[in-house]
Amino acid sequence: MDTTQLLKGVLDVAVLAAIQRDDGYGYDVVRRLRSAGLNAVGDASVYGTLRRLYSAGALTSYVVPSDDGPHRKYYGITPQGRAMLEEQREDWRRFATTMTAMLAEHRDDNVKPMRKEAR
Amino acid sequence: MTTLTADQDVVAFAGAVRAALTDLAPEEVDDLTDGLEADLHDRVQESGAASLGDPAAYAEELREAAGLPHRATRQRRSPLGAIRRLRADARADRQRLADTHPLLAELGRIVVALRPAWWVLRAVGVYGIVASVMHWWDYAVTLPRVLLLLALVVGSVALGLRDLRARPVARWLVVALNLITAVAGTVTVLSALHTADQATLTQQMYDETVFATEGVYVEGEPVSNLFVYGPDGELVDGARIVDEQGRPVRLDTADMLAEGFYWSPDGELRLPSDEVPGDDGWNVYPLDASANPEFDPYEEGIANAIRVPGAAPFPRLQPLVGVDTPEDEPAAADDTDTQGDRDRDADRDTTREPTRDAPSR
Repeated sequence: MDTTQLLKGVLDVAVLAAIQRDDGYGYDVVRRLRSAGLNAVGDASVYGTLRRLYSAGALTSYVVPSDDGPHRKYYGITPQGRAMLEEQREDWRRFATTMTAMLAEHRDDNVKPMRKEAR
Repeated sequence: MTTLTADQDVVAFAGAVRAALTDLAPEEVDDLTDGLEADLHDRVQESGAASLGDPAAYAEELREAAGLPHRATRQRRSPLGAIRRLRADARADRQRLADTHPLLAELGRIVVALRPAWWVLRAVGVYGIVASVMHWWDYAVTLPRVLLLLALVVGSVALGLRDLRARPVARWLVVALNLITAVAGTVTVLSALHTADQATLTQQMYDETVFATEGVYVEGEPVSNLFVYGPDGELVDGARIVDEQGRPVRLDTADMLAEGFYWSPDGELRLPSDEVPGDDGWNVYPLDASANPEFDPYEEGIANAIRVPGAAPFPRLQPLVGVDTPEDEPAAADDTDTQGDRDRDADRDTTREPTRDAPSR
């Protein structure tokens, strides 16, 4: 299955999760997501998501000027963002459980798999 | 890779990304791309410049993730939108140009300051068109025309002062009006100048022509001598002819005669009388001629000329009616001095002793 498609649905919660402990600037967030294992995430998607979350009130932002380089825009989570994160965490748990169960049933039915699936 | 090259790549990429977002409001673009250079810089540090990829695709991804519509749909909206974008781009370009070239910016300010002058010219142009239509070819200054011109100037200035930014239809009408008056007004002014020029030329030519016609013309031709016959029909030698204002009747303009001799149109030398006290003697008729046709006054001087009387066409004419003549011949011809009569008289008179040693024609 194409992970980019999957990611698009959950990028919001992934970004919120990446930001929840420490504020970060754009590329910071990208690095955190990648080091957590989400290699396929494009940084433009992350930046766009940050912007959307900021517009929705889930994040605050502030600019840190830098003497020797371009200034950086930092994002931090807001209480509203934390609430959103908690809600979406629950949603995901439920969804993931459902999907896992459904996929497990197919294997138990002894239907010949079309191709080898990653477990 | 050196930092400098990396920076250039980043700046170029960031510029391209922003360029792909020009259909959005400037604040929105700023929100999306704030800190973009810094983040790109980091990416390049980690993965090299090649990791930058296609800026257009980047901009698309950015848009999508931010929940904004794709650029394509916006562009398809209307040609007016495209025109608006073009004008916004042009404005931005102008601003950049003004910032980098202060001289051009100054020029721009001057042009803008001259707009009122254009408003006045525009009114004159419209007046010119009206004048052409109404056939006011003469440049008479009448009250209605002056009032019309003033009204046009006031109207043009009032139009120029209005802010038509919110009314595109009216704006385009004004632009069309400006173009038409610019062309028509220029044509009118140029043709008016041309006509005035022509008028001056004509006046000059007229003056010269009038001035040139000093002299005596008979049947359209200039004459080279005049012969006065008295009431008795005899040729008067040394007659001075003046007009009603007492001006001497001369055969040419004063500067032509100033040298003291004159080449008649038929190529003969004429000399004025030297017996006139206090005048140049040019109106004493008949004028003398030179005995030697080859005489050159430039070489030999007037004083050395051998004078002969100018050749008279007739030795005498018929005496006027009621005048006693020494001879007793009754004249059969009537008194109207036609050329035919004069010829007949001349022929008849060859028997008599001529009053002058003049060969008759």
